[in-house]
Amino acid sequence: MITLTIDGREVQVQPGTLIIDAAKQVGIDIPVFCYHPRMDPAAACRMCLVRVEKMPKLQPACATPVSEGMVVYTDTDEVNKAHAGVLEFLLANHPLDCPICDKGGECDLQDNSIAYGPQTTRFADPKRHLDKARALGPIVELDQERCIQCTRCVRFMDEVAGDPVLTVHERGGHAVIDTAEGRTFDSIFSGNTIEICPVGALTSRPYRFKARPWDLNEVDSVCPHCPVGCNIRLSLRHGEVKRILSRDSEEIDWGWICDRGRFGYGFLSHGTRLERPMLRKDGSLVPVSWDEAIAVLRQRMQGKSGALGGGRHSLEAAYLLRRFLTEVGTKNVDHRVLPLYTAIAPGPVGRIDDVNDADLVISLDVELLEEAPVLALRLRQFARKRGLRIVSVSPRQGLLDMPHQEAQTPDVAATLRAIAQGEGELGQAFLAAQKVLFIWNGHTEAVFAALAAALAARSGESATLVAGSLANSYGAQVAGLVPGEGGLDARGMLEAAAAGQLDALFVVGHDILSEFPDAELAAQAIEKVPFLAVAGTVPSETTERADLVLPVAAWAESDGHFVNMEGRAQRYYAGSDRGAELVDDWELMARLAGVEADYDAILAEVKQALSPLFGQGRRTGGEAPAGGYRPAEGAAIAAASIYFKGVTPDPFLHSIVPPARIMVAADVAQAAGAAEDDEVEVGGMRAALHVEAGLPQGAVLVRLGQDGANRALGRAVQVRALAGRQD
Amino acid sequence: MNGENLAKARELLRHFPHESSALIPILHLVEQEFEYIPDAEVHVIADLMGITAAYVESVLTFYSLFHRQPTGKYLIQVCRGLSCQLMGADELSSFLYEGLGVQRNGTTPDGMFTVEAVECVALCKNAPAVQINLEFYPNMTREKLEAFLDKAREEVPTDA
Amino acid sequence: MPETRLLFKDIDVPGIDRIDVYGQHGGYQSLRKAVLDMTPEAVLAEVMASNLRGRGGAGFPTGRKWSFLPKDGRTRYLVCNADESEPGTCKDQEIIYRHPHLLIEGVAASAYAIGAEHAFIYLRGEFKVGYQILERAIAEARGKGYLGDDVLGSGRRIDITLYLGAGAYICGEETALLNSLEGKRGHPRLKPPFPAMVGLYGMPTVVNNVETLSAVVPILAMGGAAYARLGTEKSTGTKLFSVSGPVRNPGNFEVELGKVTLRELVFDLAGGPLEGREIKGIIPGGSSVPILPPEKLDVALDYEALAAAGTMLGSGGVIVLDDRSCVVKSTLRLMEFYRHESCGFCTPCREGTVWLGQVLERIEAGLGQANDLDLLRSLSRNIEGRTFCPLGEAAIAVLQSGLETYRDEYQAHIDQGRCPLGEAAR
Repeated sequence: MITLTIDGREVQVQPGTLIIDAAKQVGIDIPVFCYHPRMDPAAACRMCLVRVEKMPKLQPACATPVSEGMVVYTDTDEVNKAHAGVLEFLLANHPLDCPICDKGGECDLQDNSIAYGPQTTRFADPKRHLDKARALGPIVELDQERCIQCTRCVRFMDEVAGDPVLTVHERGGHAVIDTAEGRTFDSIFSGNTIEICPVGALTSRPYRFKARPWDLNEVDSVCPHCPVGCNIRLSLRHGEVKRILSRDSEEIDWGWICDRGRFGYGFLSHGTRLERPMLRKDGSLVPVSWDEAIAVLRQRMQGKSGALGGGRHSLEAAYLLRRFLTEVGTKNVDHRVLPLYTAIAPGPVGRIDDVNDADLVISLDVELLEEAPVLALRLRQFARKRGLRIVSVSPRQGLLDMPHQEAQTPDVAATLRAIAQGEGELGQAFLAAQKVLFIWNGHTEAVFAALAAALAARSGESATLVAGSLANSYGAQVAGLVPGEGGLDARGMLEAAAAGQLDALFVVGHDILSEFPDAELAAQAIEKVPFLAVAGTVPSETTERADLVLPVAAWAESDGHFVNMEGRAQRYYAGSDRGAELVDDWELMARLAGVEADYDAILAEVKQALSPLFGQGRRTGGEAPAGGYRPAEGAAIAAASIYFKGVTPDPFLHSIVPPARIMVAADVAQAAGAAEDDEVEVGGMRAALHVEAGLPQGAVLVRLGQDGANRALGRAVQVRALAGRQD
Repeated sequence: MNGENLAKARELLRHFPHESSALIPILHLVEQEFEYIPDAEVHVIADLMGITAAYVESVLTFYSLFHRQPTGKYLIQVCRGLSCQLMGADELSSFLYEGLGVQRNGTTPDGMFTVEAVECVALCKNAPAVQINLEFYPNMTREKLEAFLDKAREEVPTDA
Repeated sequence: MPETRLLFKDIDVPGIDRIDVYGQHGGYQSLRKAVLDMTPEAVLAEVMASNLRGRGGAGFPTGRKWSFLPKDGRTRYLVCNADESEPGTCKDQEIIYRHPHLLIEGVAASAYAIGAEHAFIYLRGEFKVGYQILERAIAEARGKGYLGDDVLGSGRRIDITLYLGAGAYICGEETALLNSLEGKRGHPRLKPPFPAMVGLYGMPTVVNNVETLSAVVPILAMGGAAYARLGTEKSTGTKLFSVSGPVRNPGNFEVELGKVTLRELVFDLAGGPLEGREIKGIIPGGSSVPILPPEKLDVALDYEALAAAGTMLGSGGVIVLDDRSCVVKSTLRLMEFYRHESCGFCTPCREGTVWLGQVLERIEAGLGQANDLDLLRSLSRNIEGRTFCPLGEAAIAVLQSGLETYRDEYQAHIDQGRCPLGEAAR
C-alpha cells in the first residue's frame, strides 16, 4: 500500500492508483471531463489539474499515479484558477443552448461550471459555428458545437468497442468528431457514447426532446435480452420508460450495454400488447376474467399436457410454473424452445470476471457480438491489455470480432476431444494453462459431453459460460423446466401434439411458430393440439391461434429475478406502469399453482430452494439434461442475432435491424446459380443471399428471429434462386 | 488507385515493422495520383489495411499536406512563416491571388494552379520562400513568380 | 568573428552529397571506427564525454537519453527527428539537402551505440526532395557496406528506413512523431512512459534531432573530450544557428557555443540589419522562445546565458525583427501558426490559441479594446503550464515577452486604431 496526503488527509491506496481515484476514496471530488473510470486516461481536457508537491507544473489527477509520500492539493488558489481557466476556455465557444439541450440538468459542463467556473466570460469575439444537428445514424445525433473534444466517445469506440467508426477529424480548433464521409455510426455499442458524453454533443435520437432529466425517476433493472445480465436503470416519466441507462457492475458489464439493451424497450408502450385474458369461445377469442382463465388452464392441464418456455420470464415464475406442472402431474416441460441443449455447463460455471485472470479463452461455436455483446467487450479489453489468448473453435471463421485465433473445424466436439488429449499446440496450451475459460453456445449434447471430458483432463482451474441462451434460461433450468424422467422435451411435446397425443400445450413467453427451430412441426402441433394456452407480453402468430391467452406484465413492469449465464440471480424492479389487467409472470404462475401471490413470501421460498443462485460463490456445473436441441441433418445452421426481430414488435428496433440475409458458402451459391444479393428461398424462408467466406462447404446459415428463419432449420434444405430480384 | 500504386501500396504494407505505418505513405501515393484524396480512395485504403474509413479520415485530415478537394496541376504554396512574412510573403500571395483570380486555397477554373499560404517550410534563410509541388523556390520575388506562371502556361495550353 | 565548423566543415565542397566525394573528405571514418574498433558502450562513453545536448530545442544531454534504454533484450529503435518545422529554423534542412551522408553516418553510428538495428528518419512532409536525396544517399551507403545486414563486415545489422510526414508541426514533439510514424494522428503521448521504455511500436526508442545525430560524427572523429573542450562547461561543442528576417546575409552559421554573442552572430556573420534599418528585437531560438530587445543582444549564445537573459537557445532559429516589423502583426502571425498547428487534443492549447488569435487579430486590425492587453496576459497565463505538451507554452512565449517589452507598441495599436508603423509595416 502507498500512503499519500491529499488536502491534508492521509490516504492509503494500492500502488498504481491514480490521484483522482485516491481522492475519491476520501471523498474528495476532482472535476473531470475526459476521464472515464473504465477507459485509459487521456489527460486531454485538463480539468483535473492538481498541485503535487515537488512537481514543477500542475498535474492531471486522472493520469498521475500516486507515489509514496506524495502531497497533493486539489483546492488551492492556483488549482482553482486552473479549473476556472479550463472552463472559461470550454465555455468560450460553447453554444450555451442549455434550455433545449437534452443533457441540461445532468451535464458535466453545467455542473463543473457551477462548482468551479468563472462567474462571467470575457469572450467577446464571434463563436465558432459548426454542424448543430447531424444524425450520425438512426441512434445518435451529433451537435458539433456542443462538443468539448473530450474524446470519450472516440476512445470508447477505439479502446473498448475496438471499432473506430467515430473518430476525430481535422485538428486544433477545427477538430470535430465524425464518422467517415457517407457512413453512418454503425455499431451495436453506439448508445454508450451517448451516455458517456459529458455534454449534449451526442444525444439519443429515440430520446431526443422526450423528457427533462429532473422529471425522470430511475429504477434499477436488469437487461432482459441476453444471458449476460447487464445491470441497467430505467428512466421513467409518468410511468413510461423514456430511456435505459447502464448501471456499472464490476462483475458483469463495467458500465457498458449494447444497443439492443439500451433501446429494446419500445414494445412496452407501442400499443400492441396483450391486454386481457382471452379465451376461444365458438371459434374466436373473447375476453374473460382472470379467474375463469386460470380455472380453464388448471383444468385443461390435468390431462396429457406439457409446457414450453420460461427463459424469458422471471426465476420466480419458472419456479412456480414447475410447481404447477408437478401439481397437474406432467413431466413434459422444456424451457429450450430456441436451439439450446443446456444453459448450464458441465463443469464449474464460469464467471464473467474469469476473463480477468484466465490465460486461455476458448470459444466454442459462439458469435459473441450477437449472443453476449458486453462479454465480448471485456474479452477485448484483456486481449488488448495483456494479450489474453482467445481461440475460436467453430465450423465457421470470423466469429469473434477481436484479436483471436481460429481453430476451424467441421466438428467442434471432436476438436474438443483432441484438445483434451493434449493434441497439437492448442492441446498442450490447454493442458498447461493455469486457468481456462470456455464460452459455448450451449447448442448440442455432443459438445456438452466433450466439454465434460475436456474439463476432467485438466488439473488447473477451468470454467464455462453458456452464451447461447436467454435472460433467464439458466434460472429456468435450475428451477426444473427441463423434462423429468420419462418426460418430453420441446420437440417431443410438439411431435406428440402433432400426432394427436397431447391434450394441452402451455407456451410461456415464446412465439413457437416463428421461433421453434422446426416451423413445420410447430405448425402441425398447434393445428392438432386440442388446447393451446400462451402466456406472454406481446401478440404473435402463436397467440392468434391459441385457445387461451394470458397477458403478463413485461420485466420493466414487474419485480423479479433473471439468472444470468453465471448462475447469478439479479433483481429487477417494477418501474413502468402496466395495463390494468396485466399480472406479474410470477403471480400468474402462483395462481396456477394455487400459491398465495405474495411476492416477498415467494421470493423467500425461491431463495431458500435455489440458494446457490443468490450466493456470491462460483456455481457448480449441471447434469446432462434430457432431450434438447438436435440440429436436423442437412438443415441450415441456426445462428444468433442480437436484434431478435421476431420477438418484440418494436418499431424503433426494427428500424435499426439490418435486413435479413441468407448466408451461404460459395459452393452453395454456385450450385443454386445465385449471386450476392439475389433473392433466394431456403426451406420457405426468403431473403437476399450473402456469400460468407467463413462458412464451411455446403453450409447455409440463417439468423434466429429473422422472418421465416426457423423454416430453414427443421429439415434438410436446398437454396433456390428466385426468379428476378424482389425489392 | 491505379494498378501500379495499388501494387506499391501492398508493398508498403510489408515495408515497415508494423503495417500501420504504411497508412501515411499510402495516402501520399493517393495524393500524388489524384492530387487530392477522394472519398472512394479512403474506402479503398481502409479495406486494404483492414481499418475503418473513419480512422483513415481521422488521420488524413490531421495532416495539412493531404487535400480533401482536388488541387491544381501546380500546387503553389507560399510560405507565411514569420521569417518569410517579414521578408514580404504577403505581397507574394496577394500577387498570386489577384493575378490568378483565386482566393486562399483556391484553384484556378482551368485546374492549373492552386494557391495556398502555408506555415513555415524551413527555408527561412531564403525568405520569402515558395514551394511548388513540394519543390523549394527560395528567395522568391514577384518577377520570378510571374516568369514561372508564364512558363507553366506555355507548357500546358489551358484549352487542353 | 569566424564560424567554427565541425558539421559544416565540408558542406561547401562540391558534390559532398555523393558518397565518393564524402569519402574523400574523411566520410564514414567515424562509423568505421565505431563499428570496427569500439564497443557500443565505448561509443556511448564518447558521447557522454562530449556532453552533447539535444539540438532540437530541449537541450537534453544526448548520452543520458541513450543511457535510459532498458537492458531487457527488447528490440530497440533509433528515430531521427527530421521534422524541422520550428519557424525560423532551417539548419536540418541544409544538412539533409546538402550533406546527407553526414546525417546517415551519424544515424548509423548512433544506432550502433544504442544497439538498434533499425533506425528511422522521420522527415517533415515538405522535405519530399530531401527524402529523395536521402534515399539515394542511403542506397549509396548500403552499396558501400555502411548500412545493411553486415555493416563493414562487423556482423552488425544497421539499416535506415525513411518516413515522410505530411504536414504537422506537432510531429516535431517526439511522442507525436512516434504516433505519426505508426500511422496515427500526431497527438503527443502521455508521459511517462517515456519513449526509452515504450516508444515506437511499444519498444524502447531514442528520438534525436538531425543536428544532434550529425554531431556524433565529429565527436567520434575528435573524441568526446576534445569536443567537450569546445564551448562552455555546460554548453559544449558547436551549434548551428539559422539567422533569418531582414538582415543582409541570412543563413546558417555554425559557431562554438558560448563564444559568440547574439550581436556578433547577427551583425558579423549575418551582416546586420538591412540598409538604414535598426533591429527592434530578436527571437533567438525559434518562434517558441521569448523575444529579446536590442539592449540584450550581447548575450552569449549558449543554453545557460540565454536562459539567464530570459529566453532560450531552443532550436537556434534566430529571427530578426527590424524597425519596419510590427510586433503585433508578427505575434499574430505566430499565433496563427500555433493555432493552425495545435493538435486540438487538450483544451488550453486548442481553445487558447483560437481565442488569443481572435484578440490579436482585433488589435492588429485597429479594433482593440482597452482591456485587451490584460485579456491577452490573462489568457496566456491560463495556457501556461497547463497544456498536455510544450506546444501551448511555445505558443505564448513571444506574446508574453512582447507584451512586456513592446507594451507601448501594443497600446499604440489600441489607442490609434491602427498600426503605428503605417502601411509599410511587415
